[in-house]
Amino acid sequence: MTTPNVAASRRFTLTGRTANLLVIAVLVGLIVVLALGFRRDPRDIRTAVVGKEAPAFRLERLEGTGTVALEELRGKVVVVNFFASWCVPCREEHPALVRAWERYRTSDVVLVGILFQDSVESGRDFVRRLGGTWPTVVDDRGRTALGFGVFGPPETFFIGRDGVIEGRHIGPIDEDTLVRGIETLRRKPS
Amino acid sequence: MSIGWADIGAGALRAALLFALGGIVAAAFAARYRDVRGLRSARWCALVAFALVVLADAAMIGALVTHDFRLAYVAGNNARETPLFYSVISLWAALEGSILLWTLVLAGATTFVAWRGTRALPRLATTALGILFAMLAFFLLLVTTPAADPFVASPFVPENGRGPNPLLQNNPLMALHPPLLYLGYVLFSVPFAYAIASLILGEGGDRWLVATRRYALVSWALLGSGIVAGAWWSYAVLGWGGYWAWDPVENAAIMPWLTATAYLHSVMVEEKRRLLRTWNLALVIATFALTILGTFLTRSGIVNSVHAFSLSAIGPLLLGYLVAILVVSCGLMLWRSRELADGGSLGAPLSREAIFLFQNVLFVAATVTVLLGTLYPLIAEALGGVQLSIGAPYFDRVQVPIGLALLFLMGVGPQLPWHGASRATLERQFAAPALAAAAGAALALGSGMRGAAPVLTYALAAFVAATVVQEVVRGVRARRVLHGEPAAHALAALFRRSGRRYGGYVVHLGIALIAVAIAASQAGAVEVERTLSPGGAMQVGQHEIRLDALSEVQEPQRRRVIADLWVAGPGGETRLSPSFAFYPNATQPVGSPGISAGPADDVYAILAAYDARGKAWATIRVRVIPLVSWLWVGGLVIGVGAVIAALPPPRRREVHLPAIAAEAAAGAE
Repeated sequence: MTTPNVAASRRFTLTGRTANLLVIAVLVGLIVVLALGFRRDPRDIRTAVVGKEAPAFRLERLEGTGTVALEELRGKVVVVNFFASWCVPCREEHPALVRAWERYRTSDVVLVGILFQDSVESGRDFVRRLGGTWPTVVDDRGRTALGFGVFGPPETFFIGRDGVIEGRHIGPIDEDTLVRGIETLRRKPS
Repeated sequence: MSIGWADIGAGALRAALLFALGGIVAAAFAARYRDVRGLRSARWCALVAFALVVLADAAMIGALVTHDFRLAYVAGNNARETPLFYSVISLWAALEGSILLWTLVLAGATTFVAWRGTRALPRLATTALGILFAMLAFFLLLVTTPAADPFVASPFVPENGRGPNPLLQNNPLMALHPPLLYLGYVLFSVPFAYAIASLILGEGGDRWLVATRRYALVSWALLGSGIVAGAWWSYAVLGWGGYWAWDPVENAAIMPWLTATAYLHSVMVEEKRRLLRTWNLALVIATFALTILGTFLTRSGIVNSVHAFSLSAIGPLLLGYLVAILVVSCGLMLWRSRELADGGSLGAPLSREAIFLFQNVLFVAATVTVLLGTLYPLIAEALGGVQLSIGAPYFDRVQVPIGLALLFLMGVGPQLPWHGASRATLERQFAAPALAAAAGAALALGSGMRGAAPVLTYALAAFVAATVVQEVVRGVRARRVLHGEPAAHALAALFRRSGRRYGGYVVHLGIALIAVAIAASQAGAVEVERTLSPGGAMQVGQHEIRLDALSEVQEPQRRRVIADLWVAGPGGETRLSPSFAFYPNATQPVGSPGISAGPADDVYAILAAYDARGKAWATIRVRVIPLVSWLWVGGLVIGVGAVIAALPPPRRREVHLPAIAAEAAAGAE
């Protein structure tokens, strides 16, 4: 067994054009698969809640006393917006929410803000500084957000008159998207 | 205050980028024209860039410690209540800070190579230095563009920040685990840069490999320690009683470690036999590319879909970097393929070099299967549009046989001579280890172990340990005969003079220890869950656990509910306090296990649920996990072995040839 076995060793050596081509093909394949991964918007996953009934909640108001419950809003178009004072995009989208609220506040549309992963004091400060008179409530240790499958604020859910979630927007929302979502739900016969 | 932390940090990073770019030019000039002025400039460029990156990192820590919420990073990862220690380590709590730390380590490594590395082999080292500068420039580009700029101002200044992720402010191991991993990842840039430099210069020899052996070893050891520290953190914090879940983040760390392990072994074949040149280059390139691939996978939002908000422009940039690395490396290897041809052929299948080759093939197979498992969801989606994930069973089924085969080779390899072994050698080398293996199997069966994998693990671990003991005993005996030294003296001399070899054996012992710990803790764990009222008790294995009280504590940054447990077992009595912590800015409470670690087993208690109103009951889950502590001990042993192997042997330090003269002599050959 002490003599070098040339034939056996050749089987292990990867040389030659075929091997080179093979390695390059595998690497190109790897890069293509990785690049294809970018097509997917990770914000689109787990939209399983859309088309299902919105999870019920009854939450304490951020300002004053009393609660807001989703079931009491049945028959209206409800826009639920999860936000937090530390969240930069929430600050960005806030003016759009204010304008949409001014437009619909007297109609059959309700906007509900839910303070998410934040202290009550910071949340109050946020609303007082930026304005907004729609009902705003405090999530009970994130239970409601968990039910809605919220990744992180801001997230906005469009709920039809029948209490079914019809749309979901992750990240800062603009006025057009808000109006489009609301109008679609208003036109929909209940 | 007119100048803030952000101005200091951002300014320092931009200036550092200029020095890194200057360094590329200076190093290229020095390498091309062998000009000492170029090298001098490159050295100062490296040092200044490093100092500037240190300043930037210090500015970020300053901003975190002073809770300067004008910075978006601070607002997102820090709160007024965050304790000082966790404020400091929030430097690596999120993407931008991690890249900043990465840049710091890379700048440090570049500076070290510039000042120390260029003393020997100046041409190779300066070329490598130019490549390191280019990599540093890339990372400085990342942290000075919106992709990962850590000093971006917050559009508004919040009253209070979000605070770090609760899981990251729960255990001091978080201070250790990421920096160790980053050090390991980044230090491997040095062997890679030398490998590319040798390809550029067309040096067919193994000088690059000898020059960077120690960097590779230290990088490997740090990466390994980082992985063990991560497993420990997972065990001590996440509260599921396990330490490894084949999560993409874990896989990203283990893949370069596997190829680096293969490399550390195949390097010896090239040094001794002048074989496997292409293979070694490929392993270095693969290891380096895997560190970048791992960072890409975990940071781009492609695999870890739940981290949706880590989505940033950094993904395409890192992918571009990876493509550039692969194109340059493969192109150079094809261009130099003629110079890389091996001079000889591999010996008999029962020689040490052949075992190294088998071992290498297995390590690469392990890497490929982990990579495949990690990427499979992406591949499936690219082909058929289905979203799925691959669980631990796939990885366990594939990796356990590979691991057992590697354990076997780990015992066989060091016992075989180079070139081939005779029958008599085989009998002399393997008689005692074979007996030890049988004893190991008997021990496993005797302690109630069932199933082929755990019993085999015990047997093979005993086999490996016996080979190590046999080698050390023979080495000591040889020194005693040759030098007439007392045994202890001979042992110390063995480790000091042949540190690489005996340090390697110590690492093998550590791996055997870890293998046993994994087998025992996976196969022998017992779990019981009971709902107890205060005063109630439960029995798990040989341990009795009693719930004494359920209390609530308000701390500055969190509220905690703690179960006060009394535990009695063969090792005596102790108290455990598993808890739930509620952070104001977190969706879910964070559970912390109570762990009583012992040499025979750990008692791992989790507060699963409790009566929030009257504190009248608590559900306690207790897991008794045999030998799991030896996993961390094994990690420590590996670290010690790596240090022994990395320390330079005493006699070599005395030789001091002027580097340029040595280079000229080598050129004249």
